[in-house]
Amino acid sequence: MDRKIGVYICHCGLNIASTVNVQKLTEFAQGLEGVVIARDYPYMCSDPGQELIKKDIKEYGLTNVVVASCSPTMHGPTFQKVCEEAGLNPYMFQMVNIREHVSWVTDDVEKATEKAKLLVAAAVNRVKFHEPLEKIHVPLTQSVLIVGGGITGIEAALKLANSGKKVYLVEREPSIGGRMAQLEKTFPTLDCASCILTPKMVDVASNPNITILAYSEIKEVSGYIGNYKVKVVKKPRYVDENKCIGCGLCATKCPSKVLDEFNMGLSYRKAIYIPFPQAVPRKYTIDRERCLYFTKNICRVCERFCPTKAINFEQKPEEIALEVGAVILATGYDVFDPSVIKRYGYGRYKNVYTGLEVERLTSASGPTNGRIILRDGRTPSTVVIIHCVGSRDENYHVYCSRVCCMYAMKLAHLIKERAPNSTVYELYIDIRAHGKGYEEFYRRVQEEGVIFIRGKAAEITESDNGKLIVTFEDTLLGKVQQIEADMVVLATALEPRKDARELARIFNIPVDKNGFFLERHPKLAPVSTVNRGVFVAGACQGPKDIPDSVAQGAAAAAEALALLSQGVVEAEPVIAEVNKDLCSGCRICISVCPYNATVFDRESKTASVQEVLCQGCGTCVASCPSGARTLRQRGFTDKQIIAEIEAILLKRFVPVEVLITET
Amino acid sequence: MVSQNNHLIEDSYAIRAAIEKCIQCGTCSASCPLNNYMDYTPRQVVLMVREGFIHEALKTKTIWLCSTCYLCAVRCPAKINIGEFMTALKRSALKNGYSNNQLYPKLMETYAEYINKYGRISEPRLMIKFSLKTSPFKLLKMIPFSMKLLREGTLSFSLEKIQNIEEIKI
Amino acid sequence: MDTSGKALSYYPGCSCSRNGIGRHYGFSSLAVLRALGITVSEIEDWNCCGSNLYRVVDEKGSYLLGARNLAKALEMNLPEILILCPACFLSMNRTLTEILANTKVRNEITKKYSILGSPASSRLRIRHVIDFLVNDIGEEAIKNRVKRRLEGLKIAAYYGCQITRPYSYFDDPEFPTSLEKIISWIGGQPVESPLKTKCCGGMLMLTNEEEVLTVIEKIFNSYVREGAECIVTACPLCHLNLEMARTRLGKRISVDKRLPIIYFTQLVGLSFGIGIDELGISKNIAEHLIEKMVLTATV
Repeated sequence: MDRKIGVYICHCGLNIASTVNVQKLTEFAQGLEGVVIARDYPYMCSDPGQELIKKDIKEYGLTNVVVASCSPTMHGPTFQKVCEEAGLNPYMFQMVNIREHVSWVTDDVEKATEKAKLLVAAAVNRVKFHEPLEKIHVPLTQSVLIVGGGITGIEAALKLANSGKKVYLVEREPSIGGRMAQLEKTFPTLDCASCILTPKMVDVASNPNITILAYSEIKEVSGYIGNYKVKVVKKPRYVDENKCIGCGLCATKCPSKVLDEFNMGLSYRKAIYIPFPQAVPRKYTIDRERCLYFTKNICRVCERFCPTKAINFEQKPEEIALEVGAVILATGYDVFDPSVIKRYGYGRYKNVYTGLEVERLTSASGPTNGRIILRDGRTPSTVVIIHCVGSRDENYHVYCSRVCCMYAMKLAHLIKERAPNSTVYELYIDIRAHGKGYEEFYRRVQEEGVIFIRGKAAEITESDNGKLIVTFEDTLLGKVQQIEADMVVLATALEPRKDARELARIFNIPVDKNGFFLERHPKLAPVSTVNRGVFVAGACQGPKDIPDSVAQGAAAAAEALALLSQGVVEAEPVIAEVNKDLCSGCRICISVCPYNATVFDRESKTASVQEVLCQGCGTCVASCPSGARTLRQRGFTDKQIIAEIEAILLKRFVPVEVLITET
Repeated sequence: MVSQNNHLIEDSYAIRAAIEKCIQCGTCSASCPLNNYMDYTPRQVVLMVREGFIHEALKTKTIWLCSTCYLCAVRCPAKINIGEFMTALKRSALKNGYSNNQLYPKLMETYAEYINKYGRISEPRLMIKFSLKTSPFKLLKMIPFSMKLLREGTLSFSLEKIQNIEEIKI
Repeated sequence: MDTSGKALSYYPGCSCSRNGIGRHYGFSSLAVLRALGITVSEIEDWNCCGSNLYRVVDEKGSYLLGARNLAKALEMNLPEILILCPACFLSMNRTLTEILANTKVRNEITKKYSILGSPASSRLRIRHVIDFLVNDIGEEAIKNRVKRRLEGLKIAAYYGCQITRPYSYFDDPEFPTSLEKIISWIGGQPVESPLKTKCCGGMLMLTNEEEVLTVIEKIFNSYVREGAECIVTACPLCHLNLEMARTRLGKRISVDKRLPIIYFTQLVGLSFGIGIDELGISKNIAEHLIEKMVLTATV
C-alpha cells in the first residue's frame, strides 16, 4: 500500500522550541521515506493547528498522520478526533512525545534535536504498519454505586437520584452521615452541622431511587465500565430492619455499657445502639463484641422488651449482588492518632484532646451536652490549641490537611462562647484561611480575643499541680515561652482510611504517595480516575472541607450522569485478538489474563477474546507460545514495534519489512 | 538576599538542608535544653544563614552552646539535622577565626592536640591542659571532686599511644 | 534467641577503657557479658572515635578516626562491634553511615582503608550494649541469671541524649524503654522521668558550667519528685556530669547524699552476684543497695 504520511511538529510555545530545533526536525521529517508533508507550528493543538492537519489530509490524501508534541495522554484524543473529522481512521495516527520525553528533560539543544529526530522517524516507520480499527460499543447499566454515606456520598446520591438514576449507597457504619454528623458547627458561617445535614439524610432515606445499604461493605467487584458486578456484604445487625421501628426501648433496657465511638470514647453507649439520635436508617444494631448474649450466653433482655419482635440473634451476613454502570468512591478520611507523637502526651495526660473530641464536647448532643468540661470535671480557664499535629511534618504526613486551621479557629470560637472566661491560644505555623469567608472568620476569632502565636509546640509536660506546660518558641518574638494550660487541643491531621489501599485494589484504581485515591488529573479531571467508570469525591481523594467535598460529590454525580446518558460507551479497540487458524488451544493465555477476558471456545477448541473485557494489557500476547501471528495486540503488533525499534536503535528509516514488500 | 559572606560558610548537606527545608516553626528552639542561654534561638540562626547574615550567624553564642544532643533533630518536622547544622557552623567559625575569645574552641583544639599526638585522649589530662590554657584557678575548684574520684579509683593520668599515629592522618 | 558463644568485637573507647574515667562501666559490662556466656574481643590498638569534637576541627579526619576502628574490626572478622559509650556509638555509627551512603566520604576513606570498600563492609553493625542485652540476650536469659533481685527498689534510668539520637534504631529517640525493661527483669521498680533523655550538657560542663548545672538541676529534681532510690546511667560523661553537678549544686538540689548513681551494668552485675570489686562499686554504695536486695530462690 502506498503510504502518504503527514508529520506535524509542535513548538508548544517555547516548551519544545526552546530546546528542540524544530526547523531542523521538520526538514529531517520531510526527508523521510513515505512523508509527503512535514510542518511545524507554534501550537498544534490550537484550532488553526488542527485545521492545518485537516486541510492536509484532504489536500494530500494523507494515509497517516504523525504529530510530535506533548504526551499522548494529554492530546492524543484531540488529534485522533482531527483525523476522524477529516475522514481518516483515527488509528492511522501516531503521536510522538517530544516534550516530556525530550525538551523538558534536558537543556542540550543538539542532543534533544537528535533524540526528537529518532522518535519522529520511529513513528513514521511505525505508521506504515497501522491499520484502521473500529471502536467497540458497550451498553451501560443505568445505575450507580456510591461507597460512603458521608456528606459527599449523600450529595452525589441525591443529585443522581433526582436525575432519575438508580443509586445504591453503601455505608460501613450503622448510619449514614459520616464525619459531618459528628460536628457541632461548621466554619466559617457557624451553621449548625446537624441542622443542614439531617434534612439531606432524610431526603436520601425517602428518595425512591436510592437504596441505602448501611452497615455493609464492598466485597468484590468484577466487570468493566458501564457493567460492573459488585458484591456487597451486609453485616448482621441482629435486628430485623423491616421490623425495627427505632423506639429505643431495647437500648434503655440493655445492661451492657460500651465506650461510644461516635463521641470519640468520651461517653458510653449500650451494646444495642444507634450511633446518634438522627441516625438514618433509624434501626438499632447489636455490638456483637459487647453483647452479653454473644459473649456470655446470658441476658437477651432486648429480645424480651422489643415490641415488634425485631431482635434476631440468628442473623447471618448477607451477600447482595448489584449491577451498576458507574461507581463513586466517597469514603472520607481517618483522624491521625496523635499518641505516636509522644512528646505531646496524648493518651498519657488526660487533658490533652484531639480536635474531634472537643468537637463532641461542644456538641449539644455530645457527652457533656455542649459544655466545655474536662475529664476531671473542671472548666478550663486556659486552653492551648496546637496546629499541624501530624500535618506538614515529614515524620508523619508531609501534606497540609487543609481544614485544621479553620476547625481550630472554630473550636476556639466555641470554647470562648461556652467558657467565656477562658483564655484561648492558637499555636500555628502558618494560618491557611483560603476559602470564601475564611479570612474574615480568622479576623472575627481574633477580635473575639483568641490569641494567635506563631510557633509550633515542642513539648507538653505536666506540672505538679496537674497543669499542662506547653513549651514553644514565639517565632515572631524570637523567644522560647511556656503556657500553663488546663486543656490542650491537638488539631490533628486528616489521613487516608486505613483500608483505602484495599478498596483501591478492589476498584482497580491507584493511590497517591500519601495513600489517598489518585484522580486522573489534578486540575482537569479531579473526580475521574484511570478506571473510566470509577469516580472519586471528597476527602478520600485528599483532605477537604465540607464545601469542597459537596462540590466534588456533585461533580462526581455529573461525571457519572454524563457517562450513563451516553447510553453506550465506546471502548478502545486496542485489544488482543486470536487467529483461530493458528491457535493450538493450549490455554496459557487464559491462565494469565488478569481480567478474565480470554476464554476457551469449546467448539473451535481455540482461545477467544471477549472484546469488552479486554483491557489491552498484552499479557496474553506475550505468553502465547506460538507467537505473535496467533495472538496479536491490535495497535501494538510486532511489525509496528519492530519498525520503531529499527529506527531508534539501528537508525534504519525504512523498515526491513517495507523493503521486503517493495522488492 | 545574596550575601557577600557566603564564602565564610561551608557548602555542606547540613547547611543546605537547613536553608532549603526549614519552615521556621521553632520546634528546635523550644526543644533545646540550653535555649535560655542563647543570644539567638536556633531557628533564628537558621534564618540568619538563609538570609545571608553569615557574619552575624558565626558570631552568635548559640552555636557554641549546642551540645549536639539532637533532640531538635529528631523532632524537626522538616527532618533537618540541626545538630549537624550547628556543628557545620562551629567548623566554619573556627576556620574563619570567629571564635578566639570563646572557651569551646579552645577545648576542641586541646582535644585535637591529644588525638593528633596520641590517637587517644585522657579526660583528666584534657581537663587540666584546657584549664591551664583558659583559667588555671578553675583547677583549684576541681580538687575536692578529683579526690573523690581518686578514692573511688576512677582517676588516672596514664594515656596509651596508638602504634602508628600516621594511620589516622590523611 | 540462642546467643551463647556469640562473638563480637568490642570497642571500649577512651572513657570506658582501663585508663578512662568510665572504666567501671567497661569492667562491669564485660563482667555481665561474661556471666551471660558472651565473648567479646577488644579491637587491638583502637583509637579515639573523635566524638563530636574532633570533627569541628577536621571533619574528614574525624571519619578517618572511626574508619580505622571499623577496618580493624573487619580484619578481625568480627563485624558486629559492641560499644558502651554513647558518644563513641554515635560517631562510629555516623562514620559507618557516611561510608556506606556518601560516595565522597567513601572514596576518601577507602584510599586509606580499602577493606571498607569491600562487600564485607556491609556486614558491619554498631551495637550498643543496651540494644544487645535487650534484643539479643533478652528477658529469659537475664532473668535466669539473676541471683539477687532488687525487689521493689525504685530505680530511675537516665539515658542521656546520644544513645537514641539521632541513630534511634533500637528504641524511641525521646522515650526509650529498654533500660526500664532491664531494671524490671532484675527485680527493680523503674521510675519514669520525662527528662530521661534530656541532655546533661556533655562537654559544655567545662566551658559553660553554670548553664549546664541548671540543666542537671532540673534532671535531678524530676527524679527526686518520682522518688528514685537509685539512678542508673549508661554514659561515662553523663555519669561524671551528674556526680560533679551533685557536688557543685550542693543545697540547690534536695538529693539524698547516699543516693547511688551507678552504671546500669554495675546494677545488673550486682544482681547477678558478681563481686563489687570486679564491678567497681564502692563499698558504701554496695551496702546501701544490698540492704534492699533479696535472695531469690531460683538459684
